Amino acid sequence: MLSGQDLHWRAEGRDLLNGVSLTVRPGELHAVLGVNGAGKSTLLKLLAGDLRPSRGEVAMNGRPLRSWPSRHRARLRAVLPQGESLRFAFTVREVVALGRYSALTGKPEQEASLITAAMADADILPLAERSYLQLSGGERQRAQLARVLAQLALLPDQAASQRYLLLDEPTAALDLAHQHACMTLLRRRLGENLGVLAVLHDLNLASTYADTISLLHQGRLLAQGSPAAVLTPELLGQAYGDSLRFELLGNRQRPHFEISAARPD
Amino acid sequence: MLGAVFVQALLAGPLPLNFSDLISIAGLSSQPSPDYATTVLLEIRLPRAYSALLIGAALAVSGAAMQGLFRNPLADPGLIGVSAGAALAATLWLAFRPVLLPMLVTAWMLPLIAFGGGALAALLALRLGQREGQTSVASLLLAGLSINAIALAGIGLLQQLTDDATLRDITRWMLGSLGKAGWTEIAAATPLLLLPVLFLPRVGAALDALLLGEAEAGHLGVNVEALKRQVLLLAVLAVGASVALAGMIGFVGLLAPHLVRLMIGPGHRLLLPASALLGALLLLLADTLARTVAAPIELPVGALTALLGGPFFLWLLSRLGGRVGLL
Repeated sequence: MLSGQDLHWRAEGRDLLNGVSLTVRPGELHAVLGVNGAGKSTLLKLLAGDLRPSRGEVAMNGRPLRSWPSRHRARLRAVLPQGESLRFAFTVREVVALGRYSALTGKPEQEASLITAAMADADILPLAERSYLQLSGGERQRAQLARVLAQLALLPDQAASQRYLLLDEPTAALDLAHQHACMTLLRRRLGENLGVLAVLHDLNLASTYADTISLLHQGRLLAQGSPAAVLTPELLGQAYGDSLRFELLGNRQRPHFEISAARPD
Repeated sequence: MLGAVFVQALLAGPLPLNFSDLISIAGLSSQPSPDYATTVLLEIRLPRAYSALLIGAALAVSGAAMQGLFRNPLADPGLIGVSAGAALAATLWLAFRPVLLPMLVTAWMLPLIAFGGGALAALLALRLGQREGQTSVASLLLAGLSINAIALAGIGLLQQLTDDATLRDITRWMLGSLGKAGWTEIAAATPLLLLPVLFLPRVGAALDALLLGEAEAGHLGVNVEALKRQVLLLAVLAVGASVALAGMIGFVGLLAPHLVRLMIGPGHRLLLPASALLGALLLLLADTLARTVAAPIELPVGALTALLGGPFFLWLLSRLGGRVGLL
């Protein structure tokens, strides 16, 4: 598993993350929710190893994250950051193929079919030969998703070790159908000994697809557990402030909400 | 094509040689050729053509790698102060070198000192360009600009202070010419120029990953800091050694990679070796023209690389620029 224990992150004299513990288990989809600035992206960067926690420790498969050789680490965990900055005219296929940088490489035809399969999964295959720079925001996000899928894809004879996918707002630029396609795809992959951590903004999407939810508020963990345990009007009220009204729409296991602006009384 | 230009470069010049001279000098024909032809070919044209190939390749491949490293089309070795730093160090050496050193030591010292100066300038630019462990390209280029200005001012001062003979040495050398290096100097600089040409193409896949961003490349398993050190070291080697051999030759490192990118796209696995080839071709062509067009006057080769590459580059840019999204 990929676990962060008592993670702290201080920057410019401010505590952006304050004692958060979190575990991503293979076979589990873990969603992180919270308002802007609650510490979601910071948490993801700590778990990805981009930032070194000012206190606390991140371990992957029982070994400190920092002690993994970089190529070996890249075979076990992939990261989809928020936003992208590619400014060179690669085709979509070339972008997806970049995901195989550290992978154990198979025969050329195996590699080509892995890359094609990743593009098909992310529904970007029809645009495979297009220049990445000509894509819309949502299409770019799907191309990047295909890239991280390709990074963790297994060769036909390769054992499925415990692997992790960390996604920062993977659905932010996607249309409704692709949001659900993306989440369904991630759930389908859980069976390959894969653990997924996704920063999300849509409560109902998280409730529908996540096994565990961590709700962050001002750099602290407000609640952690099943959707039913975390998504209560009380906790949501604390996390999102009193400008919103959360009305429960039934389904106790996976609660859904109608969300509206609170009327000033 | 490279071969044809190479042969043309050997044949063209104030003393015309023809193809049969070439064959007989190479020992492939029983017919003897005149001694002066042998001398001209082996002592003047061959070293010159050879160093044009090597310097062109080394400058172009380092330019391509540095543009990829900083994800910036302007990150030319010349622009972050490496060339000027190398030139300043070499000028200092020319002005103050001990007079009685054996020839061989002198030949080895100049490239080494130019390399040292270039490395110092690169380190300084890098140090100034870093914020919290991340390299900021804007600060890096501004730092390079200042280092260039300071180094050029230093060279100007030195030129005023030295005697006439040294001044001639320095001026000749600053203009950028492939005509001053003999076989000894070339032999000394060859390994320094070959290293980047041979090793930079090997980091092509890592540079591709880096185009996604530094954090993303790290996620893909690229050791970004090690890659930066490797590329910069090799680029400084290339620039230092080429400045030592031929003075300042601009534009090859900037133009060749861009021309290649416009033709075959941004993937570094092809871009790096193709840039080396095109750089070699461009510089050889430019040098051949530089010494024949206005013979017996020799034009500065740097001006010719710009004259040759510039308009072609503009033409390609106007045709394909929209699709590249690079600048």
